[in-house]
Amino acid sequence: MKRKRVLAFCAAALLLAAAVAAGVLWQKRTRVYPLTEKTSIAMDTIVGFKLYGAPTGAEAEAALGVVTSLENTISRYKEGSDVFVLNETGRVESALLPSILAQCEPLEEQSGGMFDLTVGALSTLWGFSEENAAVPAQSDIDRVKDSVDYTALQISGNTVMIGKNQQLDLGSVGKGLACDMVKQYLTSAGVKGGVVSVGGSICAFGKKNDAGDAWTVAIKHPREENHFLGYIRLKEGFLSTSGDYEQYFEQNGERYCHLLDATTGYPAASGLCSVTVVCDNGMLSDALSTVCFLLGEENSKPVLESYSAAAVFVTTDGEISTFGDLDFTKDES
Amino acid sequence: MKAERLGLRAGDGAIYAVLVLLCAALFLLPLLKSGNDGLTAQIVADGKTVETVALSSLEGTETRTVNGCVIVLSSDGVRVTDADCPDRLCVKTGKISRAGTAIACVPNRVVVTLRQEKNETIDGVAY
Amino acid sequence: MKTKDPAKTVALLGVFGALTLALSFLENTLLPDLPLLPPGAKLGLSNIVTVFCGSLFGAPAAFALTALKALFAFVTRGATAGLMSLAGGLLSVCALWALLRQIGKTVSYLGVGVLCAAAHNLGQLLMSVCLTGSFALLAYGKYLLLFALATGTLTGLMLCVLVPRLRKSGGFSTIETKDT
Repeated sequence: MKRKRVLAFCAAALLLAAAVAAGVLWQKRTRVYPLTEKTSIAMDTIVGFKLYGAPTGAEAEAALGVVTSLENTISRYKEGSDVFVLNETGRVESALLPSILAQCEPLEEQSGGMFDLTVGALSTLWGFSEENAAVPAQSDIDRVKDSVDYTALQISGNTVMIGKNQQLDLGSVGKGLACDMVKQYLTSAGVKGGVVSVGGSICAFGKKNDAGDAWTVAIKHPREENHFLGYIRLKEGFLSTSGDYEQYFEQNGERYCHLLDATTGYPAASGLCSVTVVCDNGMLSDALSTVCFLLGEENSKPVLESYSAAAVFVTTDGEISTFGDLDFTKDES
Repeated sequence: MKAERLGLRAGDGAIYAVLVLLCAALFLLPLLKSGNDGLTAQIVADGKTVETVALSSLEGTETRTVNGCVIVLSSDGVRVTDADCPDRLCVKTGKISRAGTAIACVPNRVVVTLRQEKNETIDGVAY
Repeated sequence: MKTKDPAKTVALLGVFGALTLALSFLENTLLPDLPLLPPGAKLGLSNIVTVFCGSLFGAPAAFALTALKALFAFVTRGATAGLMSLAGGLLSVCALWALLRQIGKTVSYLGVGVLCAAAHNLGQLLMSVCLTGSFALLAYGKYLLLFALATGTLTGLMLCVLVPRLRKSGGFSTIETKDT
């Protein structure tokens, strides 16, 4: 009688131990790798790193270096950068610029010229970052608008030439491009996974634990500060948002935002106040978010489709809709 | 007595007494500890973390001046009330109260980020 | 386990097993998520069968039923459900085992029902903490205990009423009861 009791007890204890062991192993699969975080400023914006399983912990600093050195190519205002020299002199020798321009050309074409990287002069005219921004005179808009023309760019080998009075502005693709380069560096440095934010353009790559749980990226609400628009869950990818709430001014009750339609010379009038594009390439997600904002929801769909990208649209009336393969949950609070 | 019909015993009472007391204790315990949402503000200047302030334990407001930016912290959020930078975008941002959001004063190289200490389920914010 | 009627014993155990699974299925499919509580909190109806079986055949048999239920959960609802069921069931059977010899003396089935329910919920809570690695889940403890008091009283009372009547009518006298 006593033996049976002991046996039963042992069996129960064994099973309990097995259950606990299983639970512990399971928990190990879901425990995240060591986290390194860093927030800093580069490219005139906030750059944030959340890295899991970084081998030395110095990767974030080095990744920041990747972003700041990118400025030497694409910054419009940094003296001596490729874009600066191009805008000043009309010509530049650049290793990186030709490929950037080549990648964006199809998009400029697909948007019918609404999206145009030579929009710099128009941006300057509108002066969104200035204190007393106001709607420019129509004659000025017409004059400057005519100089915006991506087809006037001449690229041969590493030489880029721009037309007279033209100004290249890579502001709408720079952050996404930075994300691409940072991801490349971080994965080669052996970081297991992470989320990088360059001025709101996001790169999510790798894994945060053995189980490979998905990343959760929140989208800022275009009008309300106290809660998010919603959340996107993804295993890997790039997100960029274009919205009318970042740089804008209001005049006579109307909002003028910094996303300019190169064909009209005026800010986009597509009925959207925010577009978030998810894609497997950073620069493309950045460019596509601008393109979609300019084209509007309906006309964006074929373009998104051709790049296998997905998007979340928010109209000025507050309607939210999605397109493409996307795990998006609205914030219900 | 119904209890006798059901066959209830003294031990039942003991079990109930212990469990009910335990339950009451568990419910009353949180009242002893202060509620904590776990929201903290991290102030970064020139790439280095200057200070981390736990917002939920703040009564009233606290002010920090970093690199010329006047940061006001309260239990429900953070905002920059004054800055000596030319565009004053940081001031125009207004108050932030959600984990994952941030205010930046680029010319002064100051960033204030809000973080949730518990349940960090948001990995990034797209804006 | 000594028994004067092996065939009847086996048949009964089979019936108990099926009944346990049926009740488990009922609880999980028809009443899956109850408000205020973490998903997975259940009424514990199958515990009635487990306790009755234990009163007839002893703790090992009750334990076997628990293992069966956990296996069923694993197969139909996945690894997490299986582990949760196992953890809760094991702790519950331990509570039963501790009280088994005292039924009719210092405790009745009411106390058994309540303690088993509390133990079951505790086991599941601890397993969920293990699985998620988050001690924050322990905050649910007080609600689970309160819930256990309620459901345990329900199942305990049902047992108090059913067991004596079943014993009388079911012809269980040919089976050796409460072995060791």
